[in-house]
Amino acid sequence: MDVLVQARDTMLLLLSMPFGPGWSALLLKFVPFVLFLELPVYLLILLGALRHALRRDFAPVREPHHFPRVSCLVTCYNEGEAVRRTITSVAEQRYPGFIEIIPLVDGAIQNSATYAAARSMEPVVRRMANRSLRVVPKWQRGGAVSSLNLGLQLATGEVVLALDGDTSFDNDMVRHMARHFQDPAVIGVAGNLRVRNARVNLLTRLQALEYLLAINVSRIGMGEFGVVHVISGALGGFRRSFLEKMGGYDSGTAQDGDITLRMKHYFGRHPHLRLVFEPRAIGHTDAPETWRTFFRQRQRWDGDLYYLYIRKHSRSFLPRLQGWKNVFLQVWTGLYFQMVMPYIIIIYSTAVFALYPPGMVLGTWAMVYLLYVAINGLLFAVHLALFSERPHADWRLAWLLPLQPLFMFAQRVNNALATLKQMTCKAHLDSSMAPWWVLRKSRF
Amino acid sequence: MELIYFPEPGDRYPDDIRMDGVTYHVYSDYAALPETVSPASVFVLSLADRDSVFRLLHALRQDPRTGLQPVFTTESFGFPVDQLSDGRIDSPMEAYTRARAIVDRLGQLDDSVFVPGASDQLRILGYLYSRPDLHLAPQRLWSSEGFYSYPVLEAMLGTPQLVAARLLALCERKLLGRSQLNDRVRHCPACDGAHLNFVDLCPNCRHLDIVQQPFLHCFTCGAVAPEERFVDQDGLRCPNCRARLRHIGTDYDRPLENFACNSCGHTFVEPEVQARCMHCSTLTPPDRLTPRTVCTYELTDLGVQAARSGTMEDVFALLDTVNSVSPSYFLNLVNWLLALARRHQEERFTIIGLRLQNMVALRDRLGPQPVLDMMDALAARLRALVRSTDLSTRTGQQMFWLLLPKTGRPQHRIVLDRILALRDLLPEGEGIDFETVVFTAPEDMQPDETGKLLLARLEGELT
Repeated sequence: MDVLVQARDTMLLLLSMPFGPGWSALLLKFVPFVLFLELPVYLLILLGALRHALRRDFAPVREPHHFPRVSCLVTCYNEGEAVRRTITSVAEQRYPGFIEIIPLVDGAIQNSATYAAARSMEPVVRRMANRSLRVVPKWQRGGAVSSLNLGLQLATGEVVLALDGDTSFDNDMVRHMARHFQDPAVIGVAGNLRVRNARVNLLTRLQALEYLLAINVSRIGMGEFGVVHVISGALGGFRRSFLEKMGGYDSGTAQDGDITLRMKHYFGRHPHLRLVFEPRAIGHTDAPETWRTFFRQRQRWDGDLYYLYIRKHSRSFLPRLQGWKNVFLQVWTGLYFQMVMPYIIIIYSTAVFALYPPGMVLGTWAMVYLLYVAINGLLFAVHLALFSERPHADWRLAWLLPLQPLFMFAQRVNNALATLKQMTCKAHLDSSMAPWWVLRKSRF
Repeated sequence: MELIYFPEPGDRYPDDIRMDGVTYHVYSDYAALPETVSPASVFVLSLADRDSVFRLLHALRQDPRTGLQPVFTTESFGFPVDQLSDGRIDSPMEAYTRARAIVDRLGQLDDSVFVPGASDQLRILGYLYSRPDLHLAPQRLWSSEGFYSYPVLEAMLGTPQLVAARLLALCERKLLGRSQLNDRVRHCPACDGAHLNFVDLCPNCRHLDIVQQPFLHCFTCGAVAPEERFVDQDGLRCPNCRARLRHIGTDYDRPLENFACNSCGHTFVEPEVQARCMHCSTLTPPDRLTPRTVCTYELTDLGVQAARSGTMEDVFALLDTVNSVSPSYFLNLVNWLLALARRHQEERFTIIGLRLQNMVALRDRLGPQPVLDMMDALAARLRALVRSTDLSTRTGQQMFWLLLPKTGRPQHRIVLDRILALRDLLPEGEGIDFETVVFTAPEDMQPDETGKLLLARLEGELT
């Protein structure tokens, strides 16, 4: 009981006398780097998001006069019947230009059901105007990189979309993606992802909310300042001529982060080039439905980040490659947020528990928790008011906002473990993105 | 060898074509040609006007007196004029050397090929025989009724229909062989034209004016309406509940791919495809069109023999005067009768096969004319004993078939005995020798045997 009373007192102290004596001292003790380095980022995101909305609604609209030929490389593995849905949603795009759909079935021998499902769409697509479907079986499994590079060889479109076989798309996705390539400086466009199976259970709902806040609003905000961390492998668009100039995809896992980073490496020498985030190009993807698969997925993502930034592309922190702005933001939001901060949070949490009375700790924590709820609430409100194209569906996730900070904390712990695992055991060599006999030959 | 020269009107007879051993004639046009023209003539057309050359070539090829002889032009005129000539020459000397081989082979042909009223089939064989390197290839011509034509043959015989009939007959008699299959063309069953336009039509009223009308189904309110009513400036919006439709399968789907007829208002899923003949405007479903193959032909050994002997073909052709039908028609009738006999026990018919044994030997020993007389006699007697309801055909040169419907055992003996009696009427030792084979239905019928197999079996029994 004492602990709870103390916690309440601490909270009251923090709430009742903001900026009073002892207030800042107390806050500094508990949340030094964590909150204060994070808050400016949120501010930046909010400002960027507002700017984006203003520009979107008030800037003169440039009607596209040219609809480039688009090649959609759909990397398939064991999606089975679900691949039909993906192909249908691409073929049914409301886009007057030509769309070439190239599903690449990796390991088509063991994934014969996926291959057959993709082939079964051929007569359907053949009847459509300006659409073509060419299903490519890769009999021997070779991984996502080999699929994409093969697809790149076969693609004839000016714009190449790299899509995931278990992701389906809104019917204006291609229109919104292709639009950006009118600007010759744009070499890549990142699409927006939503969780397709949000209504399955609490975990998928939490992930859906996370996608809205972290992926949607955050990326809109950062994208407004010309920063795109990763063009997702589930929905990304590229100028084919540039991809070919780069020599296509590089071997190893995390091909989407890798290609984004390598594109950014041209920014130092060619400062006019741009990557864009397009919130209105929407793909719907399946999120993991069990905690086990969820943590494994996130461990892979976070581990891949370490693998990319530290192991493979440590030189990308040289400003002459990426330019100062990108290096600064990469250190801040990539290196620090993703790799260092989880440790700081864990170390601080254990330290304060050891050094301070538990009631005080709990009270401060509650305060911090409320702050996070408030930040998330604000982002959510911005999303609903300015960006959501499905406000009714999104509104139904609002009740999860109080759970979101806890969910994030669990992820940070997981993230720390992943980075540790990657540092010690080269976990990227054990990835589902490619078979081991391919990854083994990677130089990193 | 005789060189016949058609110069440009007003041009002089060129001096440099005088050569030893060659006779020269100069004519102003085709009508000026004499009554008889030597088979060893060579024609040189030194005219510049394409139409005059074409008319002249056509007239020369059509006339049996001049149809097979080599004809050269001094200029090239392109398709189809060049196809009628034997090529372009630069000098009369060249005409002379190039004509040599053709004239030599023409000399081996029987004179009857060059007289007015000569057999079409022999003329075709003779033309091919005199030009051994020539394959009779179809020429693609969009303006021709069947898309393909054989220009020389059409000039010789007159109409494409006649050419097709003669080529078919020559192939059935194995005098010509198909060396290459060039194409398969579908023809209108009504007028045999190949100019077809495939159109999709309303299955109800057969009207052309149909439009595709894709329908959408809004999941939110269940509305189903043509797609155009869903389209607004930003994408798709349900006209009924104003819901925005973003994702196929989640917000909406296509209940059917529909067509509507603007003429009768009928809506349907699959339009009907029909072929409209551009000659007679008959509409035909694609599966009812007549497929026909277009081939390149070459002379067979049998054809070479027939071309050289000239009369050989005529000898057997005498048999074709005995209620004769084409082998394929004969086979169809046999098939039909076999099917009838399988179904109705009382149905009966007889086939008598008759193979002439010693014709080649006889011709070699006695010469063509006595053989012709003997065949004439045989044909006359056969004609006398077949009834108007009996039919005959020939497969191969010496194989003659007689089909006697409604004649079973034992009545067939009467006809057979009369045929066998023919042998006695002909001069002993010197006469035509033949073998016979007899089939009567239903007694000799074998299960599942078709007419073709049956005739092959009977022919096999003869050897």
